[in-house]
Amino acid sequence: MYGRKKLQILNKKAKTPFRFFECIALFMPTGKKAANLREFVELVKVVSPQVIFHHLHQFFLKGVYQPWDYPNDFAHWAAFGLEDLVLAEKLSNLDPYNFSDIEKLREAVVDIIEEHMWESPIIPWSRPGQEFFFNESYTIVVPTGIEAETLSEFKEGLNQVNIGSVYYHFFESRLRLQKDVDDFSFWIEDNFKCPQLVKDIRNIDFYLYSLWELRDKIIKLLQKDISGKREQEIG
Amino acid sequence: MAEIKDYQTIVGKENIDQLFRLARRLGKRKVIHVSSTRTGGGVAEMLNSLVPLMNELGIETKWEVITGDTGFFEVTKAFHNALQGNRVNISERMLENYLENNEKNASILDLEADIVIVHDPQPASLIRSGKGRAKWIWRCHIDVSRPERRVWKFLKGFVSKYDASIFSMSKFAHNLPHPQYIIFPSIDPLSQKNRELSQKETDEIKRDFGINNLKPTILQISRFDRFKDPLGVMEAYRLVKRNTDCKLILAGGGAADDPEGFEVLTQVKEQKKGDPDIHLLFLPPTANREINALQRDADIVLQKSLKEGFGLTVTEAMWKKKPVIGGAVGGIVEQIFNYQTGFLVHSVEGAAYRIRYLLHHSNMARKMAENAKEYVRRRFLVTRHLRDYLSLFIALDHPQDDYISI
Repeated sequence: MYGRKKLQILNKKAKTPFRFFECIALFMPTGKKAANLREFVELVKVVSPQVIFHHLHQFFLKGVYQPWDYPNDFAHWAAFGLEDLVLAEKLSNLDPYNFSDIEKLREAVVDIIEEHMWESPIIPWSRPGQEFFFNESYTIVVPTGIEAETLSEFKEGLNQVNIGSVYYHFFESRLRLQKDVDDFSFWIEDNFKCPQLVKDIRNIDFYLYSLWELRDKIIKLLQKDISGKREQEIG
Repeated sequence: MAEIKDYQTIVGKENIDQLFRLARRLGKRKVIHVSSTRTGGGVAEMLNSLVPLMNELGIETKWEVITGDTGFFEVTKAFHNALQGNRVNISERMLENYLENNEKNASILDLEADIVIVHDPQPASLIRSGKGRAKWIWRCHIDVSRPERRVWKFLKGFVSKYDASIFSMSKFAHNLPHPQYIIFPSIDPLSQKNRELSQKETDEIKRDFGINNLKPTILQISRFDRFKDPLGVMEAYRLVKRNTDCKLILAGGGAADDPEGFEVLTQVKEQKKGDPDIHLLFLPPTANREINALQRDADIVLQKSLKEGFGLTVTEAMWKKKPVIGGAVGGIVEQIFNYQTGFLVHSVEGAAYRIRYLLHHSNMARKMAENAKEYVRRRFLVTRHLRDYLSLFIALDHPQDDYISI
């Protein structure tokens, strides 16, 4: 199995343990709805930032079937509610996690829609019953009690926590920390000399993965780092 | 009766551990659910699963059922129809009878708790008799997006007194002066209706129903009700039959005391036109094992509704790994994604075309059905329902916030 040096690496303790939290979102209707694209964009301009956050950022937390066609509620409605595939494609490409300011994100959404309406001869309408209903959410963050002091424990922990934990530490962290970094790679960088692992985690184009896929991917990267490259280093 | 640990193999230890964590955070709580019946119907089915599981999680939970005279249930049935947008005649006397019956219930029932959850309109006016120290939640399971104005105005008077309300979809929600939440309904994978059945059990039930030919089976389980479009289903079957041989099973009940339902049933019987490949099965509300067997035996499950609440029959069929074709209405659009978890259709022709497609593309049908089962596992099982209730109880402790870290 592992040599003594290898075991030392696997068992190297972090300065501070990683504490896994999980995140649960309860959906709350706002009572606002849009039946056509003009109504929709006017409401996007005035709804609360929490509404924008719910429909764009928290889409990942819903457990919507993967691989999805469209990665946020606005694009999904453009495709299936309005049957406007061009707009759906444009809205899909808007990655909310590239915006540290939600008002800038709102502006970008409005720009995409208004430009699309400018070029389009008609205003698309949804069928009755397929209107867009604006929601917001009540977010609850709970400590799981699961902690990791070593990379091995971290990998085990990641397997034990609920998928809402992956969302909290990988997606929401970017807004919480106000920098384009997830909690996982931040902790690994801070505690272990694994620059390649940190780089690999940060290179994941996470907008294209479900939370389940993302967890598998990170675990595989950890596995690869722990059992592969380290083995070579030890010789 | 299933225990919480039995769900671990279905949803994973991580989700069961989460439930215990949330329950521990809540500490000692007493919760009372109030509904109008203990058997039959989706609400009773869900509470039968949720209540014992909540108790096992350490939340002391009781389930009270209201009683009433014939007049009371006549008026609540009229409410139900009116809230779904149908015109009804309700006299002042009937409204008084509704209030009187609930006053009687309030004096009999012990509603002393931390949280009281009142399901649907039947017991809604219980709150008039005082809330005590409890937080009161109105849990609305029906589509009230376009209610008849007079009835809604009457009910809104009581519903507004609640501390919060829960709807099954945001399109069903209303402007109310308290926080509203969306909680999807759920199915219990270990109930009689959804548990695994052996081939022997399924074959026996089929034999009892006289279903013995080997032609591919198209199934719709629903009340004989215009909104479920059984006549449209028969038309779609006949379009399919021109090209591909198959049989159709329409199974359901609930028409006996409903004049409009009786009319639909008569038309359905006429439209059968002696076709031996059309099976009409009239099931009592307790026929859960039979429904389970029929769903498991079907090749394609249809829910060609024209109007629908959430559509848990779709969820049930998806859980049993069946390719499902559903009308693009109500909660069905939350469950079915074309080519991924099933097909949404808007017409008889659309239903016929998708049935033919699935009958001739068994690999695709299998793939979609597998996806459908996983989708239900993530979003529509009783364990997720429990998690949402526990989270809601936490949220009720912090009504001023929208983001809490505990």
